[in-house]
Amino acid sequence: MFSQTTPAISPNSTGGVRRYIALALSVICMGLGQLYNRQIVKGIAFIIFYVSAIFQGFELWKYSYWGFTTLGNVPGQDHSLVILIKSLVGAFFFLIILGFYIYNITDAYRNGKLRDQGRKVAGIKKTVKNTIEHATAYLYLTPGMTFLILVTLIPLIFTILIAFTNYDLYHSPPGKLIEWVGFKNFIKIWTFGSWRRTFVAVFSWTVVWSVLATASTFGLGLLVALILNQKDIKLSKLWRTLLILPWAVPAVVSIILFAGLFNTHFGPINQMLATINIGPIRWMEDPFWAKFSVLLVNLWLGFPFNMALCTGILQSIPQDIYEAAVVDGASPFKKFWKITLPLVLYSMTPLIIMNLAYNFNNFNVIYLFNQGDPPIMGLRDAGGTDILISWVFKLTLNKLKYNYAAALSLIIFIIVAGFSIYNFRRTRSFKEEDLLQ
Amino acid sequence: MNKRSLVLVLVLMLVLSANALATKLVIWESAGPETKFLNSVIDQFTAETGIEIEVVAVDQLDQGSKLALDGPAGKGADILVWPHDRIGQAVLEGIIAPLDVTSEILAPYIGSTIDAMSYGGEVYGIPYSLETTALIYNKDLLPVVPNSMNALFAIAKEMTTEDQYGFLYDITNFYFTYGFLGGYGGYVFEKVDGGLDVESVGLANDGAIEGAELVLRFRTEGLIPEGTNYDVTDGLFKEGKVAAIINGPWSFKNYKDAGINYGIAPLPKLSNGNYPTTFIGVKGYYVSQFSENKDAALKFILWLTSKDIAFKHYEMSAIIPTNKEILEMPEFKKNADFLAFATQAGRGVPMPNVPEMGQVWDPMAAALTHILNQEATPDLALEMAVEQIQESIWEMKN
Repeated sequence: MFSQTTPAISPNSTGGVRRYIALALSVICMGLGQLYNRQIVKGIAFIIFYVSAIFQGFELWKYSYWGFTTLGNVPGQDHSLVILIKSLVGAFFFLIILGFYIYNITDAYRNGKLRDQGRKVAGIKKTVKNTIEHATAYLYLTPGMTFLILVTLIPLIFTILIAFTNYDLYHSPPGKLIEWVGFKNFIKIWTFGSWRRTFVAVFSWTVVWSVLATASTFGLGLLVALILNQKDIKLSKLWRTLLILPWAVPAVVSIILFAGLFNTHFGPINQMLATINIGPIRWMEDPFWAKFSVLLVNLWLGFPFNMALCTGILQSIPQDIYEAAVVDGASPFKKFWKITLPLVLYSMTPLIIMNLAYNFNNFNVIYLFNQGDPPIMGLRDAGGTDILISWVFKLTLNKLKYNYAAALSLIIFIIVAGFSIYNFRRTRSFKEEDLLQ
Repeated sequence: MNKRSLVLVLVLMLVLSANALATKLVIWESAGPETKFLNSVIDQFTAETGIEIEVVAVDQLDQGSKLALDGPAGKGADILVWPHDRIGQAVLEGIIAPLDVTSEILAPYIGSTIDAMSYGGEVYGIPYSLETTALIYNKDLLPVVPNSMNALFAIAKEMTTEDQYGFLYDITNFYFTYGFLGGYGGYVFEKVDGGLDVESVGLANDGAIEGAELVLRFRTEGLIPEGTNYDVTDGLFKEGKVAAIINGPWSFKNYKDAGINYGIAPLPKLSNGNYPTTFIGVKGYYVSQFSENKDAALKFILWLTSKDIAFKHYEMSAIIPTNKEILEMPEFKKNADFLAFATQAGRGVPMPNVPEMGQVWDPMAAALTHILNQEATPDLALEMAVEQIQESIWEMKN
């Protein structure tokens, strides 16, 4: 290649040839273009980087090739999960090298252009200085980015990849190999009668649950904050402190206690209701009441936080707006609907959306309270209060169906990520606009 | 000459050190009384055989997943310990090795515990302890244990008042309820030569239905009310408000601490003359598939479960040993609590160790709930559960 391209240039040519030669040389091997541009040190550094990267990366890329084709050949010897992880790391490594490679090509082109225009290319001293100036930002970012890639991105991609394999009890490494199955898991969840029924039931309850759980905690939090914010409330600080207590008790403890309180025969709630001739209500056994009671528990756990936030917002609303409203003859309800609520919602919307996403995945309340029970006839491994995440948990731990669990996790991830992206892109609060429009 | 002897000495040293390296075994065991026991006996073994043992604290329930990753990398233990119901999965994962043992070697151990250690016609472990559920009763409320379930039923019914209960247990938990289904002839997976046939599920046969009807009577005749779970049973027994419960050997220390005058008895006879066949859980030692010293490892675990050492284990960590000779020892027979559990264990069946068992728990718990809530008759609920179990197993294999 080298000998083919060299005769084409004449030393006196003034057109745009050098940049293309430098570009072509850099494509052939990292650093050659720089050498051609008389940037010797830089060129040698690039070549050393290139050669060592190929040597270092070879082991990993062998896995990458494996990982993206077969996930191993010999059962008992090749550990499919290890291969998958190594191939992922290899892919990331490859991307980093590719980034340098592309930089090397553009760099060669740029300097070749400088030479075409008859200007001098930067010497090594200037290059080092430039690099330090421009690269410090990246240098500071590197630890954080590496950490992010290792602890967030790779596990995330790993889970996503598992959703496209047949990893379950009967395909468990190291004894057996895992294979790629494409969209089979998703198709199965959607086409198998009881799976589909369960998915629809669990998914719809998850949506209802997250909306109701969020709305109820916000509603009660706002209501209590409004009451405590009235001027004629005595000892409002004391009430506020008392009401914040449910938030201070560890949620796990509260939830387990509530499970005891709601016990149908032995629980104090039904025993108290019995004295006024109500019940017994089957809090944990009846699907409707189980849903109701888990919402109540969540309300108890969640409203103090909302109350605290709303109190802060209420206190920051300027009083003169209300005074002006009174002058205009607004009723207390009008003041609430037209002034208080919009202002509170304005500040709270991002938090409400994040709360929605949080409740969508609120495993603690659901699982610790009732383990997703009561069982529903005809549903697959899911009970009346199971939300997607607790169903996934049961599939993973009790049934060892990692592939289905990963497929469902992927669906959850897409939905929750959707909430977050919407939140950060669309919510007005993140944009710098006037408070009132 | 001098040089030659030096070389000889060096070679000898190399051979010796290689030997020493080759016979070092690593055993994983849960931290606590279990590692304490092992650490107290390993020196004796090293003195007897020259094989060195290293005890590393790894929780029993974490060992499987840890070995699946560490084993192929050559960092795993040689010997592992966990409850027998995980054997099937471990065999499928290819992480434990079948043991090279004859029936004479296995003769000292209780037969059902060897069944528990077997999978696909091979023996994969040496059992060292077993547990099962039995009747734990409050002697102040129930001085004599009736000898039949019907009699217990009648007495318990009489004793059940506003805040006192005759007989309670975690009824929707299939682990505790299986004994009644099994006692009438139900079974989870059919026992065939060389293991269990997972295609044949016997949880909706006539026996299982009869057992489920008895369980339903506990509810309909007001013995075990809705909302009874493990915590309720355990708590009320500690308060002295229950005459009899079903629970395992892990629990009675708490009852002793709570000051309850408790007694332990095997479960009474059923109406068909059989005893409830409660699930037995067996803990055993296994040899890693990745171990380079499988013979030495087998030697060590046989030594650990031999009469003298196993007796020491029983004394140190209050386990029910699997060695028949110890069960016959007068020192053991003095311990009425353990004797009752051992008797019940003799009537029980090992919990299936096939990985398909994972598909059984939830559908059966759901079926029991439906039966007790009278949303479905026992035969219908059990048939639906079996259908779901079979479907899950079929689906896993396809």
